[in-house]
Amino acid sequence: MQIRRLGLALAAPAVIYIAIFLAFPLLYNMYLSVTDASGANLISGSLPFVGSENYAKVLGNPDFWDSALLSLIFTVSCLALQYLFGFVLALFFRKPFPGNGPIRALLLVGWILPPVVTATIFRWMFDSDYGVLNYFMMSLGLTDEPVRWLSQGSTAMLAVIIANLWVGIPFNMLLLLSGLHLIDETLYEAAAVDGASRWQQFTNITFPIMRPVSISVLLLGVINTYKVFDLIYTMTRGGPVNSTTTLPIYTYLETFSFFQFGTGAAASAVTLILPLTLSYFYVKSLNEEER
Amino acid sequence: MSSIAMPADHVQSAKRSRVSIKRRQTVVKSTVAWLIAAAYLFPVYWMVNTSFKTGKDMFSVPPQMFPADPYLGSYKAVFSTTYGIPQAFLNSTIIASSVLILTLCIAIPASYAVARLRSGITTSMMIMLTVVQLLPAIAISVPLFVMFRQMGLTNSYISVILADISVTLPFAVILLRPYFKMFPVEVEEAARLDGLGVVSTIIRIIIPTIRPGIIMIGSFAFLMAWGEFTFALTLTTEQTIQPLTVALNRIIGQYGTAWNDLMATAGIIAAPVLVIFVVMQRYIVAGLAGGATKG
Repeated sequence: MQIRRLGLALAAPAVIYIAIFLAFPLLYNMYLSVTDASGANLISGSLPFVGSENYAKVLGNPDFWDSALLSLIFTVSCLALQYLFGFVLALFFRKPFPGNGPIRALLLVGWILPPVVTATIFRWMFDSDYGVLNYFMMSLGLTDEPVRWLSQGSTAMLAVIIANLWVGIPFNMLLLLSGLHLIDETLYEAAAVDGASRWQQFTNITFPIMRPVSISVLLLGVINTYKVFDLIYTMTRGGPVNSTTTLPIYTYLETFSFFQFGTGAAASAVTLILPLTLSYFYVKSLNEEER
Repeated sequence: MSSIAMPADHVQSAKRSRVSIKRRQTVVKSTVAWLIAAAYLFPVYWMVNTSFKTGKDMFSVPPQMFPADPYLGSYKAVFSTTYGIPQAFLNSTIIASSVLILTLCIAIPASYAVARLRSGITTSMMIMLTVVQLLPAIAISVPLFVMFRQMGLTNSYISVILADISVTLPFAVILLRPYFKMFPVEVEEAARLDGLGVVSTIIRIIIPTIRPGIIMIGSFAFLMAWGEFTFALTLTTEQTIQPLTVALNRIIGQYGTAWNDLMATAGIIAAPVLVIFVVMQRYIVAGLAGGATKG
């Protein structure tokens, strides 16, 4: 009993911290979302209650729905491609060969670098006039004239996705690889004796065993990709003409460019629905794995 | 029967050729892997390469693949006061170091508690920590900005540090808990029989033993705070407080075409990250793979 008390005392600072700086802000956000928290009202200190007005404003704004669609495009493309490439790379690095360890570590550099650094490098490589990417593409004959990657709506999203894949692929590889290492080698030997081809071994052994790991990786991937802010903001500021304004960017611009904390809070509350729902499944998938 | 048996030298050469095929496959695999790594790291190389170019070389067509005559002007410009980078570097160091220290001070006792206590509280606390680390930073930034504003704390190191810890703390507890769990309870009990209290057992016996884990989590907290952008952007407007990540974005806005200076700045932000990663690589990778898939 005494140990129990002490344990609670040791956990107390963390609990208090989370209560003040995470739980309270989330609740406070709900409160702000039903008030007219404009910049002027914040200064005067009176926040009139407006009910669902902010939500009506946000949900009635076509820009919000455009952002939701862009978030969907960004998340789904990044997720599918980083999972696919991550899986292929994980299979490639599964068995030891000279250089396996150091090369694998080098591939993680993109993921460990601060996103603003990555974004700045890609912004320069995607430059329409002097970007090295257009130079490569033109020398290979892939395009006749420079692609205006970041200055036209049709390609800006693609550029942002490519940069995010550079970050996301290694992380997917790392997680999938640690899953692959758990598979019992003798399963493949037995399958080979039975005459199963490489592809059959993959579809009948590897993929089914990797299912729970894959589900965790994909759930985590949705949550992490959906919330990407720094990379997109640094590369495009959400432009040109809102073509890369995903929901986090929309929330930021709504709140901090126009100092509309009420509608910003409503936007962020709506934005939170997806990660909160998915985190329920993520926690559940972790518990199932542990069993 | 004897007609089926192969002469000895045939068996030998068949074995040898199988070995050489295998060796060739390994060589091909290694080569492909190095090529993938080289292609993958090209953006980092391009950052370093550009940072050593003069304004003229930067825009040469075709682009210079190697800096023929390394130019140090960009680094000089960055370290002079033009862009406010020295101040931003200091700010980043202050913020990231404080986050590192405070995260460990709060996370170590909490991890011990959640590792040792068996009750519903620990389970719900672990679930809560897992969920909060998944929230988008921008969703917390909006209420934090209003809170800090009302406390008069915007444009202070404290606001950014406190906000950053809301990200590093859940991570740290989730990753540290297994280390405490693995520590044998018997050793702890023996220490208690020797008259040590729980707190001094943690400080004198457990912490020294699980030091690799603590160093890994400390460096990870530092790296997260060093690269953090969203809170720093939303909670600070004054250059005197802003860290490097915000300063970098400021330069993009103001001097969009000075790519060599920008790449030098990006390189300065990346350098400590790469150094820490090279030194800590093994621990960071193992810890993170475990943290994301085990919870």
